[in-house]
Formats: sequence, C-alpha cells, structure tokens
Amino acid sequence: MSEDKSLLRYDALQEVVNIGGGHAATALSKMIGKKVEMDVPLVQLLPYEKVYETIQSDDTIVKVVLSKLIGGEYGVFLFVIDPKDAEALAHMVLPDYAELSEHLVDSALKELSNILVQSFLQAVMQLIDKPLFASVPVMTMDMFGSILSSVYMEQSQFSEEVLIIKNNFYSEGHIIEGSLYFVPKPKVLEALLQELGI
Amino acid sequence: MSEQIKVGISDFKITTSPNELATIGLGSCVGIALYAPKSKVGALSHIMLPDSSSFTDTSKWAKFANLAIPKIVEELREQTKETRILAKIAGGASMFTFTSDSPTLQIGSRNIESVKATLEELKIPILSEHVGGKMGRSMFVDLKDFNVKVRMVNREEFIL
Repeated sequence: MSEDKSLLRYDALQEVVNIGGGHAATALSKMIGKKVEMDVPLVQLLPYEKVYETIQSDDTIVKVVLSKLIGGEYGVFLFVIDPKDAEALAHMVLPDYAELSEHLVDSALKELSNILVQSFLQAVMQLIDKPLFASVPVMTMDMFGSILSSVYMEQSQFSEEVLIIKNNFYSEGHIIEGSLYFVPKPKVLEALLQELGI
Repeated sequence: MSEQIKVGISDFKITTSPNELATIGLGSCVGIALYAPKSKVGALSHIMLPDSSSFTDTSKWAKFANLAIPKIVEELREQTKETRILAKIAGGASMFTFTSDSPTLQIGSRNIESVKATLEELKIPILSEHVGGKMGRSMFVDLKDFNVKVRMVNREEFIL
C-alpha cells in the first residue's frame, strides 16, 4: 500500500470515530443535561508499554463497561471511567433523593455507556447502511492494564502493539472524564473502509 | 541496595537477591516466578498466550508459555548451575464473562493449563498458585526468600 493511501485510510477511520463519538457526546449531553465536550479521537498503533505510559497507567483502578457487537465478528466497545467520576455521572442522571449505593451507580453507568455505544453505532450505521447491534453491557472494576490486555486478546489481537481507537468525553470543564474505546477483531477495519469505498 | 525490576507484558527479567521482580495488571495473562533457591537468582515471566503452534512469527518468544518457560529455565540453570528450580504462578483470569462464551475458548484458562503442562515437563514444582477467577492481579517477587505477593483490587493481598 502506498503511503498516501494508508494516510487516507487512517484519516477516514479517524473521521468515522469522530462522527460516531460526536453522536455519542450529543446523546450523553441530553441524558445528563449538561454540556459534553470531546477531544479529537485517538487512532494510533501503540505498544502496551506506551499505552500505559501515555494514556493510562496499568495499575490505575477503573470502572469499565463492555458491550460486544453481535451478529458477526466485529469487536467490543469499552467505556472506561475513574470510579469517582462514575459516581458523579450517576448523580447527574439519578433523582436527588436516591440513596446512591454502589449497585445503583453501576447500573446507571451501564445505562450511560449503553447509550454512548448505541448512538455511536447509529451514526456508523448511517455511514455504511448496514445494521449493527451491541449486547447488553457488562461491568467490572479492576486495573486498567489487566482489562485492556485481556480485552485485546479476547478479540484475537495477539500482538504486543495494539491499535488504540478512542474518544475522550468531558463534562463540567475537565472535571468528569470518560473514554470510549473500540477494540476490533482482526480485519474488521479493512471491511469497514471497504464499505466506505476507501 | 534492593531494586524493583518491572516486567512488562510478553516480557521476562532475571535478577538476583536482594532485588524484587514485579509485574502489574495480569488479566488473562499468567505471571510465572522462577527461583534458584541456593543462589537466590530468580526470574519473572509475563506470558500472554498458551502456545506458539498456530503462529508463523515466533520471534517474540517471550509471549508464549510453551517457548518462554523452557528458555528462561535454561538460562537460570546455566547462570546458577542449579538444577532444582522452583515456581509460583498467578493470573489467567477471565475479566468479562458472557454467558455465551464457552470456557474452552477462554484464553485465561488455556494459559494456566499450558503453563502447568510446560512446568511439569521441565520437572519444576509449583509451590503455590493464585489463578483463574475474574480479577486482575499484580505480582511482587522478593528474591531474598521467594516470597511472592499477589495484589488485587478490593481484595486482601495474597501471599504465595
């Protein structure tokens, strides 16, 4: 592949993530009744070491909601958030009188992540004119490193370099921050680019 | 002076007491601590995959249980001239479980199996282990006495 072509494909991919993420941010903003901002999406091939150095350290404790794309070998979405930010987000969508148990926070978080994923998918579906469905989300709280490496492997990505695809969302200035990752199965991105005619 | 030496994913390190070896964030990966007790030389390996047989490129041998363990053991034996090497292992979790996933497909349990089979072939006893489950683990190996600490989130530290 020529360098120009690969650059174009990279740009196209970033644009898809940008459109999906934009949709997701709008949906999230409606849910929490607050402005949601987004960084330029990150699409980059990185060794694990660099991921832990530059994105999030491997021993950071995070809450992660995972949604699997169903109906084919596509991949999974991960919504990654600091446990404190998760609680703040839950406060925004739950009525004031509700006593926030961990269980309630987690279920609100799963629902918010589900909305992010579904609206992301909706935007992509419009681009490729094909239906895409995500599973019911599952959640865990653990070390970022344990989760990330395991998820890439579960998606048959066995290299020590992984393609990081993610949107960062912010609310209340930069006080609340969450990231939506997409971890593709092998060859999924090629198929997507083909659908787009690139 | 004792130093903590970090082992990344798909990597391994060998060092001597009083140093400590550590690896952070094992999920479905398995950490294998190996120890030559007389010379107090030890290794820590962080494998990612059970075996290399279905891969054409095995130049990164340290990520495969079946390739990494024999090579590291050989190096330990050569360095220390000890034949009796000891092992302690941790990891091999399944971080997310969907009811639709069959256990035979789970990489964590396949990693554990392969690590155990490889160690058995090399006649290396596993003194203790903390494997499986749904939680991530970090491993800290003290080479003074081969004390291995396993740290998890929201759980008590486990001493192997």
